[in-house]
Amino acid sequence: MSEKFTDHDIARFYSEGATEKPSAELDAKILALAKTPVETKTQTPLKPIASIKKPALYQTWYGQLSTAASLVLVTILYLHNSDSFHEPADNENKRETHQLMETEATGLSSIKATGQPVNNSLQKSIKQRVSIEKRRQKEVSDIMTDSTLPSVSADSEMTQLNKVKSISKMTPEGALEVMATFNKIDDLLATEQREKARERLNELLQKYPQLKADLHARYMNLLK
Amino acid sequence: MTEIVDESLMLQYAQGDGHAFTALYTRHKDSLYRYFLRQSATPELAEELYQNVWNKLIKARSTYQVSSKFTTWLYRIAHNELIDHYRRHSTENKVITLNVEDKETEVPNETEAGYLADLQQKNIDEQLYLSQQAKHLKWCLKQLPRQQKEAFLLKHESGFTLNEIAKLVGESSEGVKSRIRYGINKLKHCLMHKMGKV
Repeated sequence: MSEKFTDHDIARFYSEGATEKPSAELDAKILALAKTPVETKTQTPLKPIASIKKPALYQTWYGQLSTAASLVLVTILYLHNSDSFHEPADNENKRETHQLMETEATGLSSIKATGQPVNNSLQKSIKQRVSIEKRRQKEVSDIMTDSTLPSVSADSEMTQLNKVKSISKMTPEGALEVMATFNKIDDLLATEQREKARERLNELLQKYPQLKADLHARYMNLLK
Repeated sequence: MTEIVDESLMLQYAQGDGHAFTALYTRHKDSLYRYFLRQSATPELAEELYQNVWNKLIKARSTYQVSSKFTTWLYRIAHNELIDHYRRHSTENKVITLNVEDKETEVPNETEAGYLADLQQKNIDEQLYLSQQAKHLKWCLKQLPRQQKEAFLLKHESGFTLNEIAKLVGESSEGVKSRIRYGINKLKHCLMHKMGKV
C-alpha cells in the first residue's frame, strides 16, 4: 500500500465507488413519460375528410365580411340616389314639357312653310307649356321659402317666372321670340356684355312694349 | 460504435419508437445519475435534476439532429440544467454545501474509527482497501470546486475526451486540462490527508 497515489489509482478508486443508480421507481416514471407522447403521436387517428363538418357561411370570417360589405354598399347607393326617389312629379313635368316643345316646333315649322296662321292645337300646346312652367316655378318657389338655399338661386327662379308672366299674355309666335330674346340677353349678361344686352332688350321692348309692365328689376336696371 | 448506435436510437425514438428510448436510457442512466449525485447537495435534488434532463430530451426529440455525439448533446443538457440550478439557488446551495461539509467531516471520522478497528482485527484485503479509498474519494470529491469536479466527472464518470469536455462546457481544452489536473492533485492530497489521519 503505497502512500503516493497516481492518476490511475484515483480513477480506480472512483470506479470502485461509482455504484449508485437511480431508483427503479424513478426509472419507471421517466420511461412512462417517454412512452406517453410517442403513443399519443402514433395512436391519434386522423379525422376523415368527410366527417369534418363545414361551418355555415355566417360562421366564417369571409361570410361575415361579405355581408357587412353588402350592407354598406346598399346604404351608400340608397343615400346617393335618395333624391331621385322624391322627384317623380318633376320628371313628369319635364317629360310633358318636352312633348309640348316638340309639338310647338312642328307647328312653327309648318307656319313658316305654309304661311298659315297659328292653329288651335299650337296655341293650346303653348298655353299648356306655360301652365306647366308656372306650376314648376311655383313648386320651386315653395321649396325656396322653406329651404336654406341661397337667395341668388331664388332670385334667378323668380326672374324666370316674370319672364313667363309676360309671355303668357302674348301670341305663341311672339312668346317664343320673346323667350328666345330673353335667353340671349341672359347669356350676354352672363358674359358681361351689358351694351349688347341693352340693345337687344331695347329692340325687344320696342317690338313688344307691353313687356315693360312686368319687366323684372334686373332688366329694368339694364335700361338705366 | 456505441455512439453511432446512440444516434440511431435517438432518431428511431424521434420517429416514435419507444423501445429505442428504453435502450438509450438503460445505457446512460447510471452515469448521468451519478453526474448529478456527485454535484448536488442532496440525493433528492440530484433526482430532480436528473429527471428534468430526461424530460427535456423527450420534449426535444423531434428537433434532434445528428450534428454531434448523442452523449455530448445529453450532457450539454445536463450541464445547462446544473448551471441553471446554481444560478437560481446560488445562496441556498452555498448553505447546503456548508452543511453537508460539516456533516461529512463528522460522520466519516466515526465510520473511519469503526473501519480502522476492523482493518486491524480482520487483516483487510484488497477489496476492503478499495472500498475504503472509494469512500474517502467520494468525500474528497465533494470538497472540490464545482468546475474541477464537473471536469473530473465528465472525464472519469462519463468517459469524454478533453476536447469533448471543452466543447460541452464552453471552455478551451487547455483550461479543461488544467481543471482536471488541479482537481486530481487536490483529490490525491485529500486522500493522503485521510490516510495520514489513519
